[in-house]
Amino acid sequence: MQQRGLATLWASTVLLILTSLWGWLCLQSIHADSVRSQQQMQAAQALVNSEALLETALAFIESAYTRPALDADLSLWSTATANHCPSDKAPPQWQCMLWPLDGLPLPEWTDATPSFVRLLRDVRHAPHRIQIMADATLKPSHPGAGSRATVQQSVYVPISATLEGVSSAALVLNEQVLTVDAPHCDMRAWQSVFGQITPLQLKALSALQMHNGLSTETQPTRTVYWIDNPQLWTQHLGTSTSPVVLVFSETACAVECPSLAHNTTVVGTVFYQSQCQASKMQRWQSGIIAGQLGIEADLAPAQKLALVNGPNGLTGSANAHAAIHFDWPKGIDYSRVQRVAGTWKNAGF
Amino acid sequence: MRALSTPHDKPWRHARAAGFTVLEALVVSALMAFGLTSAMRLSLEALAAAQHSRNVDIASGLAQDLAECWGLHTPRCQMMFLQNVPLFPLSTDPNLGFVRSWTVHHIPVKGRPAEQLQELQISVTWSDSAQGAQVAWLQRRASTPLWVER
Repeated sequence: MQQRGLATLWASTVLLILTSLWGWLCLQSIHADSVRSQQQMQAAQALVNSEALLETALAFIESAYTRPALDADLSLWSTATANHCPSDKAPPQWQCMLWPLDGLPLPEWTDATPSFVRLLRDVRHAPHRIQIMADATLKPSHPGAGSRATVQQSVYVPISATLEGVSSAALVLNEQVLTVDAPHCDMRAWQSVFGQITPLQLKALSALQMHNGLSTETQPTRTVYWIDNPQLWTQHLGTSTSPVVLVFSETACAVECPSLAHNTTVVGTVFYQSQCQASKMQRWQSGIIAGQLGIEADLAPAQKLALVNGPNGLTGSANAHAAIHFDWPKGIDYSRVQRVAGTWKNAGF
Repeated sequence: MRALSTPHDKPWRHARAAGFTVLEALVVSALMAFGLTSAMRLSLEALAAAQHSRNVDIASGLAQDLAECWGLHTPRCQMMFLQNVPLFPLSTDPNLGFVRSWTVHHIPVKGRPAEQLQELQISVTWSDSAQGAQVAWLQRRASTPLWVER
């Protein structure tokens, strides 16, 4: 009988243990659900923070590009290095930088150390389109410490413009004669060759390609050259599949515009900022230009004849402007920063 | 206390003899009482935690709802920014009210108007048990336009 009583006690105890175990499992289940719910909210907060970081970067990029293109671009990208590029987007074609976060008003709860804003662009094919990636991590003092999220979006920046209205003629001259009433050389020839692109934008594009390491030796090759040097030009540039733009600036033409050396070939567009002063082109001699030649002055008849018939001739080509023909949506305002539709992504790829 | 049994006892006498002793009954009762009390406390705490978690979910949903309406010119969204009344999203608990408040700040950006970068800070509070019952949310927006092809 004592054994039966003990069995009853054991049975009761086991039942109690099982009931407690069931209760504990239920509690664990509720706890797991509660944790899941909290983590979802923390993930949502990390996402909101990364969006806020992206918006902050956008506002500051827009602020940077209110300055002239050359200054804006050089100062914004001054800290760009190859180390900041993803493995599949390396210089010299790609330019990458991590925005110093100490210069930005970070959203509350964002931990500055692991968070980052990365800017990325293709300097050769789309320098006017920047991909911005914002990665935000929550601070240790936040309940969701360590939660992180990444968002990205692309923007157009005013570093180039459309080529609408450019002339397809092989030779473009500005026959304006400077007078007391009209002392400034107009932009007629420039706009016939470069459309809405300004000289500062082209100078910025040239500086950008050079600083990022593009040259005649790299793959892809450099395609925009802004030259301030008045010396004779002796370098062959461009190919039929990769034409270049070569601009001899006002500085290069300060006394006389530099000639192209005999038999030097340039495939693409060559332009002289001779400021409507024909005297600066009087002793000018051409190499072989396959594409387009623009001069902010008139040429002597003999020079024109030599260009058309001489051994150092000028021949037209359909893709003379390919180096600066960037993909702009039709009708866009080229003068300001704008988001590219459909590029917002909640991911880092 | 236990009844002595002999081989000549009636069967009902065996049943009586198989019952609990007082000591056994006391131990089992104490164990049962302890176990049930613990289970009850666990259940109550689990219920409170689950309710708090549910309330946090609701509050963050209300905050996100408002954040997503920021700058949208639809009647519903505009109404949300005009009214600041307690919300009762649970039909099963008409006493559980959530209060949503918000402020908009301008974050200065050099050389740009004040509207260039704005921050919406949202706070949702509710009357919970002992736990802190507030959810904070933020949203930033740059005025950089989106290019959409015409």
